[in-house]
Amino acid sequence: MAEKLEDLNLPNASVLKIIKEALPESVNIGKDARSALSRAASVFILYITSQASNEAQKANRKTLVGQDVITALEELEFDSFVEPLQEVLKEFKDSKGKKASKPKKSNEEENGGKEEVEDENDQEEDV
Amino acid sequence: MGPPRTQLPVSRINTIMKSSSDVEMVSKESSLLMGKATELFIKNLATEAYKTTHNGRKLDYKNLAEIVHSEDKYEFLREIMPKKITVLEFKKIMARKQGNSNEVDKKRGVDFFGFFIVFLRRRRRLQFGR
Repeated sequence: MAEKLEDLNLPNASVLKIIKEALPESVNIGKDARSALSRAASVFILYITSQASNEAQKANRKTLVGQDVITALEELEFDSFVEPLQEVLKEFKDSKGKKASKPKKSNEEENGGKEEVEDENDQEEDV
Repeated sequence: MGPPRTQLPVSRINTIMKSSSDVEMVSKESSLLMGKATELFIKNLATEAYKTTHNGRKLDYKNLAEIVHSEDKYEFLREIMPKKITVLEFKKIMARKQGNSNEVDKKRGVDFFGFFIVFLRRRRRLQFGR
């Protein structure tokens, strides 16, 4: 849980950097505009999370997975985000696959069944 | 190669997601994707708002509010991004509504209402922190 209200804000420096990347170099960004975008981003996260948790509920899952986020974005008219996110999800799964397969090779014989358990823990560790 | 990187801290995204009462557990991959989605969201909104600037030199709050109030997909932001109007515009609107009766009372009413709106905005800002 968030302990302070500030914990629900995104770091100003990162937000500003992202805005600057999107606009031509010489553009000034008003202080009001920056803080409004930052607030909007926090609200966006909650808005998408709420829809995504609906998706998880439909599938009888307690844990939100990446696909829920993608489906939620699609339903809330952010279709253009779907493709780049599919790629991030694939990248994430690939990197995880590699990480998981390395130790598995050496430990396979001793604890062959452990892999699955570890995976599950990883998904729910942030509770 | 490690997991994909995002510019926004995944732990903070995770905290915000979990502050929602709708959600029970949040997987790492979903916060990572949300981080990336938020980045895209900021970029898209900034770019769309930038297109409404007159000379393209500065991005202002009013440009953001304009887009938020004209695009359906941003409807969820309308409450936190009210359209700002100048006191002059506000007085004109009120004058049109009230007609020309009782000049003195009208002015006083307008001023009070103007203060009230400023007060509401300050409060809203406080609620979200800065």
